[in-house]
Amino acid sequence: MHALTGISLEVRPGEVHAVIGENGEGKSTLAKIIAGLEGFDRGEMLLDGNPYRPGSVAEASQRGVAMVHQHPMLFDSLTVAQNVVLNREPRRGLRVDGRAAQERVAELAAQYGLAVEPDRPVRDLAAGERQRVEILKALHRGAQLIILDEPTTMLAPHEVKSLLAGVRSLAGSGHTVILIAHKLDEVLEVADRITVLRAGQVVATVEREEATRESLLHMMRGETRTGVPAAPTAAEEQPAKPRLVLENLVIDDAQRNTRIGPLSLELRSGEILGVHAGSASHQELLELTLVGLTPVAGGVIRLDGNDLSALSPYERRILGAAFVPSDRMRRGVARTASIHENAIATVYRSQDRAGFDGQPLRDWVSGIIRKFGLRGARPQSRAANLSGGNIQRLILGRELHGAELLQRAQAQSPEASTGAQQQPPSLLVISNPTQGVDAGGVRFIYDLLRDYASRGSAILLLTSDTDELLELSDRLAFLQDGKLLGVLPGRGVTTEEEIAKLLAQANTTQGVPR
Amino acid sequence: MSERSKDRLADALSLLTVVLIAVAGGVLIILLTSDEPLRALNAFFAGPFSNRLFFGNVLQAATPLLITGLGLTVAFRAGAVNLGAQGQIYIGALAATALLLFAPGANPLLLLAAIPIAMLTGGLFAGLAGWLRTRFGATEVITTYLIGAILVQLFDFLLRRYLVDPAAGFPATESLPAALRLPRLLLPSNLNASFLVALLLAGLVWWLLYRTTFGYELRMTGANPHAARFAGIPVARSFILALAISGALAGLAGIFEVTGTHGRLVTGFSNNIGWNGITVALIARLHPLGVVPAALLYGYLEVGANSSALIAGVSPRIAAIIQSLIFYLISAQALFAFYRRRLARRREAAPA
Repeated sequence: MHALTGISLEVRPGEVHAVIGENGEGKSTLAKIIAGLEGFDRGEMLLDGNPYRPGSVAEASQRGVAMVHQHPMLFDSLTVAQNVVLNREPRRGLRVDGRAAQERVAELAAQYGLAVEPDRPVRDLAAGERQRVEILKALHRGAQLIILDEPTTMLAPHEVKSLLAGVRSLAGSGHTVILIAHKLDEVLEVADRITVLRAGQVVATVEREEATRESLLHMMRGETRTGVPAAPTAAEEQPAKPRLVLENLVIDDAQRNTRIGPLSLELRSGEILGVHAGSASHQELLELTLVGLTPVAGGVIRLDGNDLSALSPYERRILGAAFVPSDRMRRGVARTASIHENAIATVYRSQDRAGFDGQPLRDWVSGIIRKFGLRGARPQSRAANLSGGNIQRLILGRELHGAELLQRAQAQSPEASTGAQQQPPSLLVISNPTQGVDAGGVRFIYDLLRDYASRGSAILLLTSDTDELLELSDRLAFLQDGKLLGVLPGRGVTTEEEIAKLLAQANTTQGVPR
Repeated sequence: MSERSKDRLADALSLLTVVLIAVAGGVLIILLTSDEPLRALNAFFAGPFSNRLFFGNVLQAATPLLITGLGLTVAFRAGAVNLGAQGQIYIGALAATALLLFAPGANPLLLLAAIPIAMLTGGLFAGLAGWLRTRFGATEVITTYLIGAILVQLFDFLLRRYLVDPAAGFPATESLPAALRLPRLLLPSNLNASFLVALLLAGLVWWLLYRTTFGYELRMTGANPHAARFAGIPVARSFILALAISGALAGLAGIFEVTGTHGRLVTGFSNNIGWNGITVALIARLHPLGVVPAALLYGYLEVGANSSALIAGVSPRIAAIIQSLIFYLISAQALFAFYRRRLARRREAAPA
């Protein structure tokens, strides 16, 4: 199978060339090939008329090509200026000339209208500023062709505007920009020409003036998918009784200096509730409170009528709850432990007689490996050998199948119920489900979540990715500074503009500069 | 060759290098300080195998290191660092010896009471550090060390104040009657039954770590406590119990030294077992069965140095020098490995 086939793409100097397509259609692969992160099998690339086949990022960089990633890779403890000039520092004698670096960065920032404060440590920066730092880094290294990979995914709506302005000024000063994107409004605002990818092939390249939102959508989706609305989920067909109830929930984490609440939300069977927590630390706190690692300061959490507040993570899982953490390297897996050992971590206690290593659990783990597409994974090999996407599949398998196994073990204690209907989790809390996951994995996870929702699970989706929220959620809840801003209807009803308006409103009424 | 077996081979080679460098250092010092370097070297390397006395002493010198090292392996596996084994050895031995001295009669069954008391005492103080960590977040690296340092002083104080035998001429208790001592093996060496117990313990610890649910919880806690807690594994319990086990085994090594080797409580009897136990566990790469050869290596170095001191007049401190060299090299290696892993983790955490 090929990720891309027969791609022909021509990018003119000084233009902003958008490459669009839905998730998993090959945009990122194309970007990586140009940036020297991946190779290609057949065909040729020319850069300024000369053959170009970079074997590494460094080689691409030498030829003036740089890629800005979705999640900028910067050193948190260094300042903006230090990050920008890293490895290309202005020197005075043997020492790095810190002042010259700051001046250089300030100069670049002014020239391209990319506002940054050179002497601030990067850890204090919001996502949009990080993106700008990453772009400045590319410029400092003399990049002429800059590839932006979904630059707006992690940005708040007001940050998107200033980023797009920056992109225009890059092109205005003679740089060439390849913009990987899938948000049509942004593309139509900023691009000179637009290339549409579908299923690893170029559908068309069009001038901005010739393109409309509808024509682009049509090309992205192809004939077969136009006009077919997403299948309604159980929640839309019949209002179910609430499974998860948060009532005046207050969480106060002095250590992280983060507060949430009072927060009241309801989540029904078959419903996907998308929650935009406002910041990574609020999202993490919510996640830790729901799994049972951070105590509740006030209010109640009820699942199917049971008060969860005093229950341990294991006791919550016995009630059918499943939890997928946002930071999967830290909270999801023990990398030096085996796949088997990681897979059974939530359920081993229910297997008193056979033990943690017994045949029943071995078979169960094989089932996860098979059903969740962990191709070629051996139960006894270390979790560290898995890719990020496969680790996510492993955790999903453990949590989703684990909820079934635990409920079955629970039900068996009075009387054996062989061949009973597999019970999906009553509640799935999933945080950043697709961050750092490959395109195929993203599709798999989206389908999985919809499938479990249709089987009656209540799904609480925590993510800051507005596309993901819009794609999956039946309802959307927005928090800011721990308070509920509002709940909007989900898929197909709410638009990004409405979300932007809601967030902007909150900003002005509270007067909190972000 | 698979990735994993390649890693293992590299690991074994680096271990071998460490030991060879340390031994080369010892040889160098023998060459520089001895009047008869060849005799001294011969006595050092061949001496331990030359007769029953020396060979028995090799096994005996390895025994407390083996027992302590097994305990420290359990702690390390749970991600806990116990720098207080030295104190736990002393306090366990003290509590148990006090019982043996003050209980009426010299019934060998008293040993069966004294041994659990030594383990309980050592285990309590190590477990205390674990509890402080899980309850208040006080890092066990510091607390085990500090509590251990206090226990060493407390041991000396109690020994000199209440248990000392004035006739001994130095801080030591009366000798225990023969009935309260462990059966001797391979006379005239110091070897005794505790060696066999230590070998059994190696198997037992292996079984505990790799074949029981408790061992699974303990290893998951050590592999990534955050992930373990998120998955619902009782992390605090595993952590505290792992430290308690390491303290209990230190206490056991202490009472075995008293009832097996010395026959009484003597000031400074532990002779660095608590610290060398750490190196032994690290040389064994935290594998319980690897602790056996690692401890034997240490016993061999100890007796080799004694033998060359006896025969060729070299300082018996040679053993300590070589052991310290190994200790520093192994610690440095462990430190590097730790930072490499952290770097690798950070690199992976950043998406490509």
